[in-house]
Amino acid sequence: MAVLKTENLTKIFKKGWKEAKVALDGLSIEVQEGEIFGFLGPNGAGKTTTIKILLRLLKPTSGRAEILDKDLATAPTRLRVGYMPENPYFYRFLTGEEFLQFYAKLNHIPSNQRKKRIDELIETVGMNHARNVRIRDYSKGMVQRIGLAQALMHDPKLVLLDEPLSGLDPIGRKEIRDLVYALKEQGRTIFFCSHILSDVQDICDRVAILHLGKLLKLGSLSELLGTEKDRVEVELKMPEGTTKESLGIQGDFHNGIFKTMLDNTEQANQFLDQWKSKGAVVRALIPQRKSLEELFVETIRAQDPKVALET
Amino acid sequence: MIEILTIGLNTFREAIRSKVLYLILFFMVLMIGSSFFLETLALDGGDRLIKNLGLSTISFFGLLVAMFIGVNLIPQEVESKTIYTIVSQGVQRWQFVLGKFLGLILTVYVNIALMTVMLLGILLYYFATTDMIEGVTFFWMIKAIFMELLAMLIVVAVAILFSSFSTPILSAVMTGCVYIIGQMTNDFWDYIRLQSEKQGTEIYCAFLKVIYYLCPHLDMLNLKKQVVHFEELGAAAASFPYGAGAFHAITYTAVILFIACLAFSKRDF
Repeated sequence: MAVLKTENLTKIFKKGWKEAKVALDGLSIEVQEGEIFGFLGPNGAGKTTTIKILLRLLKPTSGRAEILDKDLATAPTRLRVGYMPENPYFYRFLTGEEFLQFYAKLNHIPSNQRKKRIDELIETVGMNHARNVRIRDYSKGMVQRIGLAQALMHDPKLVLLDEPLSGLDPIGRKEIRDLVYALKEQGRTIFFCSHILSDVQDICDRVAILHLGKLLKLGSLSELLGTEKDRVEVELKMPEGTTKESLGIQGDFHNGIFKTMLDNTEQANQFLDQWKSKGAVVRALIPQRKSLEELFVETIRAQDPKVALET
Repeated sequence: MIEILTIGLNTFREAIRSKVLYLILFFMVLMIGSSFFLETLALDGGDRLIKNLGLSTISFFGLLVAMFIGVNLIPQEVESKTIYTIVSQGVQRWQFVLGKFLGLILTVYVNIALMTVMLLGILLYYFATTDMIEGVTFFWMIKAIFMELLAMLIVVAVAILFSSFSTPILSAVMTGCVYIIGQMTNDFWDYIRLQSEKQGTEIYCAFLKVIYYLCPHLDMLNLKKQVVHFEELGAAAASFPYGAGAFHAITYTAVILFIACLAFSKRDF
């Protein structure tokens, strides 16, 4: 069952009288129940615009969106959607517990159940030690975690996470990733926007790649990256006198060591045979699957060769 | 309703934990406190100076709270993205605007309550030391402060309206302008009357009248003259149109808040 569905969703921002910027160009995606869906794209791709339309903070120029089988244009105000914004600056004067109390009241949680719900959420995000500390004294990771707790207050079926890993150190990233896994295990659907592609590759079931408002790729990771590790990373110690020009293929060449990626085993064998006969010594042969980062860069560059990517 | 109350109380809590409020409070105490010392310099009765300065301080500092805290309330929530999380949990935008209004008016009222206690304390001390018993003064003071509370409804609503679609600086300037114009609507009416006596000014006067009717009539809620000079004014002071003033404050506030809710609901983030 599709928890989130968009059909030809388009948003055009008018700039003055004549100019217009297409932020989203006919986006059609479906997010299935219980999956972690990665929503990727460089800056300005239209990710945040999509999220804002889904939260009804922006009205689409055309197209439609459905959440939990309800058309957003006519759906009731209260939908079971949780949202955590990118780099949030929550109420700094509140403690973590006061912050969650605020959201519990907004969600009409009866006062006799409020404490229990807050305790559960604080436990889930591992913030018990800081529940009475003001948010202004939280680290970035702690703010993300308390932000996740507020997003879960009304027990949402769909959780939208906008760059939940940005600015976190490796430990903080791992903690948030573990939390996202835990949410999936609870049966929730996660819509995950991120720039940190290695993490997306680790945790997402399906991904969509967007650029300049257009959907360029959509599918499961195995569909997009392949299941076989058919590429080979080769590292050779080259014979004396070898120059970079004489190698004939792209790769890193330093201090007589050449490192390159070859598309299949046949190519790898051919290359090895050619150079072993000239005295090269094999240092490493590592089978590889294409990474999401490579696919992302390839896809975006194919569309827009001049784009500057920050991944 | 619970949404409006929750957002209102949260806004109030945010305001009372803000350094800006304490700075305003400090200067407010300084101003009212100074009347205690300045009354010895007054030629025509120290109590008049205390009343005059006290009521002006209440009005001016109410405006400052609305300007410096109020105009930031909505832009700050948009900037920090808390508005996104609030809306995603089913709170409607008009509830958010009314909640912000409630929180700000509560902040202003608590400030006025503090100032009132201080002002009445100083007056009481003054009367005790000068052997004067002026029960009627206290009665007029309470009436004047009550009308000031009504005036603050308008000022806070105007601050919220501007902050629902504009930047904090522009909102502060606009709120200040509306406050100043609102205090001078009687003079403005006299000017329109004078202009209308001249030939060929019909269109100009019609335009001025539109502005006159659009402006809040804060001087309808200003009892300072009556409080300070009630002995001289006599019956004229007693005939102050309280009902019309209260009606104007409540309807004007309701219309402004309606426009603010509409503007915020139509806004794209």
